[in-house]
Amino acid sequence: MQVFSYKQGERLAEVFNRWGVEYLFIGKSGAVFYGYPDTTQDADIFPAKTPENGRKLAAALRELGYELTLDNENELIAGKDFVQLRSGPFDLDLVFAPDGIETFIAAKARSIIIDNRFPVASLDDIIASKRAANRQKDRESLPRLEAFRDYLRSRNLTALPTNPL
Amino acid sequence: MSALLTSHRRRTQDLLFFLLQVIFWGIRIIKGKINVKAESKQLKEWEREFDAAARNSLLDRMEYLFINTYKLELDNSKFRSFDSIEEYREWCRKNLPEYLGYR
Repeated sequence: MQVFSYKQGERLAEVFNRWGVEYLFIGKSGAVFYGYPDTTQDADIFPAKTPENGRKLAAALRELGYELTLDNENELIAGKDFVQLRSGPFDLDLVFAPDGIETFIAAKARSIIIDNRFPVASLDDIIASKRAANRQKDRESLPRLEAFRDYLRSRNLTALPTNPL
Repeated sequence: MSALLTSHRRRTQDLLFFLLQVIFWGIRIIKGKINVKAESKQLKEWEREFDAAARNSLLDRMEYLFINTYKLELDNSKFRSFDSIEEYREWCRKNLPEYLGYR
């Protein structure tokens, strides 16, 4: 098992894009794309919850190296709210119904593309989702994450520069 | 004479009451000021961290922000799925140690 890295993110985006998977990065891993400096252990993906997207997602995940049984694939197609994958190149959480976000379409409309390849849920949605989840780890990280959003706003930035001079 | 004493006692009582008010509100203000200072210090510290992050590329940031540690129970299954987020939360409550922060 490797740690999620830029190169793996790049590969995920390339493979997901080729299969036409509808998704957004979300959670703390999504915030990292904005430049939020905090550690995290896995990548969180918010995929659209439709049978067609589930089918594409399963194919893309297999190409990335995740072991998926036929049953696993059927579950992705049938539609689950939350799936944890620990059988591939890096730990991946698929959050089909994140707390605090009404629909995938609404979140996508508010999302941004970072570094021309990474579709990421808006920071407001990431914060709303953490606030609604209200787990201990979310409660602990919220004040700093909100301070980061305010920091970006005060500088009229949507995200920190991906390649500063 | 008695009227003078009563008036003096009243003034002393008023003065004591005033001093108690000053002490009570003074403590509250000082406490408030200390909290504001701590909050502002924390924000400044975070801003310094955000400034530092802004000097790194996304590639570099991702290299050192993603870490891998074994998480008890959570990492014991290759594939785990839940019909609802509530079901997932319930599983976390029942199966994960509190220190992981999933409750």
